[in-house]
Amino acid sequence: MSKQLAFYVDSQKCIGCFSCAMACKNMYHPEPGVKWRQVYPLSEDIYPHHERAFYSLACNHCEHPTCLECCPVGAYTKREDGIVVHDQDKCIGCGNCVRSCPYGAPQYNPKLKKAEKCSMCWERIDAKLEPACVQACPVKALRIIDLSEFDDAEALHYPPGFPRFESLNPSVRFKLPRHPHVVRRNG
Amino acid sequence: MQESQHEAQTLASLRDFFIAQDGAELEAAVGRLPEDLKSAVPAVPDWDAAEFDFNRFFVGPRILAAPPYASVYLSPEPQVMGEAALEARRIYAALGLQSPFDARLPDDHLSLELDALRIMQGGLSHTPSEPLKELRDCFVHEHLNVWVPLFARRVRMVAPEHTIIRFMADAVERCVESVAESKGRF
Amino acid sequence: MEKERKSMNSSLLSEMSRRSFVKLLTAGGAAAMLHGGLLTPKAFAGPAKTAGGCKAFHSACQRNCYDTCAMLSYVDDGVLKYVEGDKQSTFTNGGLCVKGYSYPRRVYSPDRIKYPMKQIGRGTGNWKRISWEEAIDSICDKILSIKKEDGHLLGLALDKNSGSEGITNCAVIQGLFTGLGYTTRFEGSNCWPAGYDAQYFDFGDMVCNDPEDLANAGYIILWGVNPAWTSIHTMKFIYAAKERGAKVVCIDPVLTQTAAKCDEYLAPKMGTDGALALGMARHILDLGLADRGWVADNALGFPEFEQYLREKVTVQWAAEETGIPAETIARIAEEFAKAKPATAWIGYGLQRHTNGGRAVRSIDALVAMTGNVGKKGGGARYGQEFTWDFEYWPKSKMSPPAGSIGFVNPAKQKPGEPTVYSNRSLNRNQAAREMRKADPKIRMLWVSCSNPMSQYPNRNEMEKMYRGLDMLVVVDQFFTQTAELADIVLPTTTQFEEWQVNVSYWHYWLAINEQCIEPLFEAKPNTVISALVSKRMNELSPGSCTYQQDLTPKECMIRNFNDTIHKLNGISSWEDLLKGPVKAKRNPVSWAEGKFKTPSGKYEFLSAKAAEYGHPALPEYHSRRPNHDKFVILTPHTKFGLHSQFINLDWMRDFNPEPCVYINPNSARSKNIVSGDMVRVYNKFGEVAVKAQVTDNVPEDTLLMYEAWFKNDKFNVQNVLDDAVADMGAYQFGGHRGPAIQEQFANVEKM
Repeated sequence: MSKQLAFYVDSQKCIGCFSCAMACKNMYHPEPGVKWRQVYPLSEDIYPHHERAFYSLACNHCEHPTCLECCPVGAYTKREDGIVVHDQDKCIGCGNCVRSCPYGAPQYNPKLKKAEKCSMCWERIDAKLEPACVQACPVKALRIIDLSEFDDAEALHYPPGFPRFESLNPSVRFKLPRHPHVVRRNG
Repeated sequence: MQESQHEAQTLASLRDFFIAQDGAELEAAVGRLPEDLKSAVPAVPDWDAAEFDFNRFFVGPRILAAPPYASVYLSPEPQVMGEAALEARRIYAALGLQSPFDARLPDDHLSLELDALRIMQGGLSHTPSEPLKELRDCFVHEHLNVWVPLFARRVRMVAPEHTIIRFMADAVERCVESVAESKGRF
Repeated sequence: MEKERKSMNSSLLSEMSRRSFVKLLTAGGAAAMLHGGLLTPKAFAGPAKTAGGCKAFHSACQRNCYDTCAMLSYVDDGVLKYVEGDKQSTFTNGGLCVKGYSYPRRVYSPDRIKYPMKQIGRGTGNWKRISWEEAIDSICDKILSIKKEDGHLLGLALDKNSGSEGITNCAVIQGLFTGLGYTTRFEGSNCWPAGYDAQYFDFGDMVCNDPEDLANAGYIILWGVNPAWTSIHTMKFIYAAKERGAKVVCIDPVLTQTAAKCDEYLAPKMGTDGALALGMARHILDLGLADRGWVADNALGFPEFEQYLREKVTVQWAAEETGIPAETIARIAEEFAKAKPATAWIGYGLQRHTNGGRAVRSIDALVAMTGNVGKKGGGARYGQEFTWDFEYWPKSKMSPPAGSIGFVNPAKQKPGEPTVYSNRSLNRNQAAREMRKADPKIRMLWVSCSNPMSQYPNRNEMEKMYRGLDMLVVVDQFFTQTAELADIVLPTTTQFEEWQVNVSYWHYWLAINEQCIEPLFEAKPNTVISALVSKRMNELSPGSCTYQQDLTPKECMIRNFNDTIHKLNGISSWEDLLKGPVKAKRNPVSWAEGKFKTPSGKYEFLSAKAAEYGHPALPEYHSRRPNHDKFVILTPHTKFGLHSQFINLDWMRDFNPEPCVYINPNSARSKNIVSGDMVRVYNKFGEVAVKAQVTDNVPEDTLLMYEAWFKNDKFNVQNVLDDAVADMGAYQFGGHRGPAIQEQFANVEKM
């Protein structure tokens, strides 16, 4: 397969500290309410302890991105390294991508009346830097991998709680959280 | 009174109002409005109370009801010292001017911008100049007349009653609007 | 890289030559337009800088936090664009946290206090903008009138707390007050006093191994500490130990984020940590796993401790006391004793109890008796202060004006000797109580780096006391619940607008904080504010203040450096730090030489010093105070704030929109409460209205709310906390015991 950069989300290491999500705001200053990256707590049927395990998610830079397919003005491009970049200058705010992405990656900015999303900090990648969110992660739970070279049998493509859209083939891989051995109290 | 003089006087009065530091300065600024506007000013029984109100809206120390900075309305996020402040700074520089406050007061404070507009209009009424006109149009259409209506709307939302604050916010909106519409004048 | 609204036609701006405009304006007589205007002619400074190409500055996070991150701040055209962690620090390794990354928003928040202002009528919300001169004048007039009427300045009080941990901020305001005379100070700490004393009794000092050395541990107990939220950069070292085969155990009444990341989690009853540690110690004795060689060589009083354990402690007793099954206590004790090295990290929550100091002494004893003190990857980790040996200039070098009258301590005043005056020191953990009984009365209070209305217990009483003051001055960046009651608020700078130098009470790094932008509006650093007061005092009444009047904030910062700091960090001057943060050149293992600073020079299981301060000489167990209401209420840190800081920012609200109270499913059922219900948490001191979240992360007898200050929100956990104090703290904190704020009680009902 050709080069495809992807986010690797290690939920076993992730401490739900939200540094990744805030680092993204720190870098791009999106409108309050607009979140390119969000840290989602797993529901208790997936992980038994309330708000104690998370998936940090942004754009999945899919192999077949619907945003790109449905954009009438060509505001989306997929680079050779697989990053899906949104050019806001071209965007006319029609909302097609916002409605069509099943992962909710493109966000509508009510102030600019345009869409916007994570573009994997492509300028930083080109400058040999890590994306802001990846650099911010204190426990290396968020990493960039190249799926054309990635070989980890344990990594999951569609873990519980992450919607399965095989036709899009989202570029993201996961590791599931572990449970501690819990000794509750008597009385 | 000539139209241009009327406009300059209005701009100066509004400028002084929105950067006033106390009730006396507010009163003096309102006193400098052209007569026709002055006659419509709502009664202000107590300038101290007006000052408390003014601070609630524009100064602090509490969270501002309507911050008088372009960035708050033009930047993707309501912050001060956003791109809009730097735009204002570049416009002043193009006129060979700068804010007397350096970076202490964001350059896109309403009063600084009104002053810049007043100076541009004054310059154009003396000596029509294409580049200056271009700069003025750009400043008014892409900047001032975009955020000032939003600012005035925010004031109206918080202060539906017809106070001096509300009156002056409406006045600044009308004034900027009329400059935007009178493109043909100079 | 910043994404912005499509800018104006900036090429239009760049192609206009400045001169043609000036010429145009002057030629046309438009220069007359400048007269009486705001804008002034611009000094020509060459071509305008283009966008992009930020300049990086060294910064340091000023917050009261284990991690004290070394930062880089990127500035373009005088505007802070974004911040990052500094990769030169191996501790933070290029990262910040959710709070640190929100700094650009903090600096440029429209909510910042911008000007000195005075309130007409306390709490009315009627504010007048005043000049700095007028503000300083009214402050100095008041100080002078107190002095004139009372003959001394004990009616003037200072509450300077940990809102900024920059070294100059630890020195200048206190320095100013010393320069004014003998005043009243709110002292003691809301933080760690009980455990601090405990470590002083046991070791003679409080020093922890380098946190980066946690990676070397074979067994880690995270005891009442939640680094996944409060020290996120330490987590990677804990993970590293895990990857090398260490077992990590978390002990906490709440199933925290840290607990979820550990191998095992124990949930003892609140306030029983001492019993758990002693039960483990007893089992280790029974198994013959105590390190008798180490205690014989390095410790005092182990036989007495052993006798106490054999007579008073059993694993079964500990099981009943803590609720942890006896077999678990025994198993963990055995694992801990057999793993070499093993370490315990002791949090600050478990010592904020009426028996908290003893709990820390018990855990220290457990670590010591297993031979884990002075070992790589070992230790009873609590904190350190050896990196803090700065000058604290000018605080340390000041004396009050000649002839100042002050407080006379009857305990220290010998009959027939000349009177010795001092400041009057009040315990901030009981601020309301102390103010009520203060004689002479406190008439004027200066609050700096502090938000007592959100952070001190017994808030309703506190507010009454504050309302009774003649004058309250609050210096802050934001309009806090304390500022609401102020007569005068003064705007102060963030770290980006001033020079600072910072160290941590946990890791070993030292970082400089360069000023990288001009102060916004009329904000001033505390250094400048203090100098202004001193200058005006001397104008009004020559000789009335000995505090310096003319040093810049940067000069004040430089004067804090000394040979000790240079030597410790291997630098020749402060300027070396402009290259990046440095780490103390010190053995990462504390007490490796076995030379303790106790009176005996040994580790003291039996501490005469403890007895001198009214505690048992041994770390004996003592039950916490009884409940005074139905539920235990815990009010720890949230990950989205540092005490009352950051939570008010809108970026933070995107991730943390509102406060809530966590309640166990069984208790919720009995109270007919479901997640999302508005409930009243209440007791005899006050109440809080808040949304409920039902979760079994908290035990059945416990409610949990995070301490926080949300903007435009009355939420305040202090409404239901009383001012009970811990057992210890008086030894190292001038007689002021620590707070018992994690030993509180309340009830809850659906609204």
